[in-house]
Amino acid sequence: MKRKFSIGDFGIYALLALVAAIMLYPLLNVVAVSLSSENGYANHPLMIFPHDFDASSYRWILTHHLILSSYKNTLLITVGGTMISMFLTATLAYPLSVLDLKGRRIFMSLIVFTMFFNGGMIPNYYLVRSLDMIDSLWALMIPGALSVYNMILMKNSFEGIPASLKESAYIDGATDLNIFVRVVLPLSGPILATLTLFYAVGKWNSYFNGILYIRSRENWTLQLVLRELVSQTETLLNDNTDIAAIPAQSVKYAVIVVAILPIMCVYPFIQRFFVKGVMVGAVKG
Amino acid sequence: MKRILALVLAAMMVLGLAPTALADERPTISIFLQMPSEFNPETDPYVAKVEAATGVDIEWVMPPINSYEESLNLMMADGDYPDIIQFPSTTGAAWINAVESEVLLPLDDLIPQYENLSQYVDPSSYSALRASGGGTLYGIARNTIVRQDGWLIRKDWCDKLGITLPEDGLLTQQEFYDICYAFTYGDPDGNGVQDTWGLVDSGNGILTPFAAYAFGCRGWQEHDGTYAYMDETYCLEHDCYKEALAYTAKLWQDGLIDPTWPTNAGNAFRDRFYVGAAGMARFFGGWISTYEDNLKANFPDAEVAYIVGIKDKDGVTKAGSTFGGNIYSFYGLTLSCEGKEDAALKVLDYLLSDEGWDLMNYGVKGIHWDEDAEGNKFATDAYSEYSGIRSYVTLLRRYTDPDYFVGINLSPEQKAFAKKAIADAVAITVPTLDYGYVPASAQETMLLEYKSELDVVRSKIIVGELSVDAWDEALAKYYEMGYAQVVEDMVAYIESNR
Repeated sequence: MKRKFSIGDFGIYALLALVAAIMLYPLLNVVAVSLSSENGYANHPLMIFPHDFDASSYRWILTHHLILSSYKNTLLITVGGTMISMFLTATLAYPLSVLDLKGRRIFMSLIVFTMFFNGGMIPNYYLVRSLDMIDSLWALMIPGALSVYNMILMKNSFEGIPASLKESAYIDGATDLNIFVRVVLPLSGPILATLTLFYAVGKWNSYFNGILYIRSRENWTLQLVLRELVSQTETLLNDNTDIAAIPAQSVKYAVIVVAILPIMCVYPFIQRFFVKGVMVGAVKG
Repeated sequence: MKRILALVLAAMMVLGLAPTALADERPTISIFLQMPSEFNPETDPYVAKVEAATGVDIEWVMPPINSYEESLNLMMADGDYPDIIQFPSTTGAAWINAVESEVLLPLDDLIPQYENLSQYVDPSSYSALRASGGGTLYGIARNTIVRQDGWLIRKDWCDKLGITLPEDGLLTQQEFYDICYAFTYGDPDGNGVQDTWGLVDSGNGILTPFAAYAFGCRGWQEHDGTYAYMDETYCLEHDCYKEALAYTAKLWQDGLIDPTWPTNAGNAFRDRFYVGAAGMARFFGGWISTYEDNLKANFPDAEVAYIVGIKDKDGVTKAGSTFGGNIYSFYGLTLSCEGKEDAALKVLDYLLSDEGWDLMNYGVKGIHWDEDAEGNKFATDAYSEYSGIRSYVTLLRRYTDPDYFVGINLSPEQKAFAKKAIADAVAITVPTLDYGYVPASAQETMLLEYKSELDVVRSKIIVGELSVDAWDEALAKYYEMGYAQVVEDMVAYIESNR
């Protein structure tokens, strides 16, 4: 039987449309400005369609001599760093999810302690330096590789897997490692996908660690290069710079698009895990 | 035979070692400085020229510009010093720590040995750096042109409204106000809508008076009062600054200043000038091509003129500036450079030589510029790329050469305009007596925190939330918080240097 479209439904859809428009507008504005000239922006700053189409910002950014290397570095850090982080998180979360692990409370206390107390920026810097990771991409992958918060989420998710599954695997002769790899991980798709996304986005957006630990430009990440391009559009407007033709505002917006586009391309493929995965570790029945 | 063979082998050995020996003689110095990412030392012909001319290889350490101070502080904490460090200012933590930790080489005895460093660097900047270094010279300043910038004005609007600008570009306070009023309410763009304003500037969230010099606020100068020297901005005995605040407040409250002024950050205010929202914008002669080209992209018939400054009540236009001792960043040699001081200073000295100055100013001949049959320089297509990094690769500047700011890429008319505007801006400037010195008492935390509150009071007065008299109370409290000590320290410093 077809459900009647009521006034209430209309109100709900109207509200949803409004919220969607509010969420979508900044995105459209960013893309539109990034494809407009400086005058187009100055005359129509709130545009949702480009005015006086001008893709020179993208040309300037994408032809920059550091853009390819920075993309490569960021991809390396994102993929490699995420793999390292997921490996460490999962291998720590699983034993802690086993209720009869001896000393479990002590281990958890020590681990959670690090969530609240930190050596700070300078001690961390000295630590990274002593490990000879200054000006190395490892400095962007190893320090902070394991997020305790994410580990707790994963631990809670593992605890939700029925013990009977593991027991039957034991009876069949499986070792702890076999159970972890063949029973627990396959059943933990949502949490693995969610935390992979968390780590990946964090690594992709990583900026401050790059300032701290990276010296040479060959190792600059995408965020460092993009931030540099944005700040340079200010200085390039002075002192008879012939490149005053660079549309400064458009560059800032084009930088946003260049930075988020790869992540936005990946997100739809793991979106179905995201909502479920966020809640998986939150409530235990 | 054996003897001949031995001699030949020995000769071959010597010849084989010679390139190595020669290569070993070529020093390498590392320099930590701000450079835009467009600068690629591997491929830039400018670098090859400098290295060839000086016989010194240069290792460039270039952290991100927008986080240069953080990177500098980290490097100083790390202890792994390059040979030369570029410090942004004498008030930065990195410089203060470097002086206190004695990680820099004294230069008092070295500078006189280098002709160009002695001749073309402003002596007052050496004095300022010496004072900042506790009496020892640890730095070489990059100078600029000490000037007070004026405004670029829409001359076509003036013509339309029947406003005649003075030949010398100097306006009285009333004339300046009248022009702003006419630009705001006279419909200079002729579209029948009141959508123009007299003036636009960059507020960055903190409002300050326009042309405070026209009311006697000219930095640290001789003072007719309790103290022998004073910055009238913070003088308890005179009302100069209150008058400046009142004047700007009137401009704002009468609606003559572009409403975006308080929130304009960086160079965003220029966009308002380009789109015809404002008739005047702060301007430095060297920016003429940027301003004019962008303005004419919107208004091909637009014409511009330069307002040099505003007269005080005695009809005099005098503004104070030393640009912090004429220090627009500076360089220090670290302990890592010990034994290579000559190589490092040779590079810096070369940059101020005739050949080096031409190189920094124009780029590489035959690549970035060339000469016509009459010997006039002209910019090539490659100059465009060089112009983007020019102000950065100019590690040092000849303080005696304002033509540095008149680029060869300008049209003849723009060159003439820029030269005159710069000369006028320099002509109305008098040096302040502090030369950028900041005493330790001015760095006290409570005083710095209260200065933020002072900025709030200033902004509120301008927008009309507080009366001008609120400045008296705020300033009195500033003195109580510690500014009185600052004044005493500054007076003592100025007296010791006069």
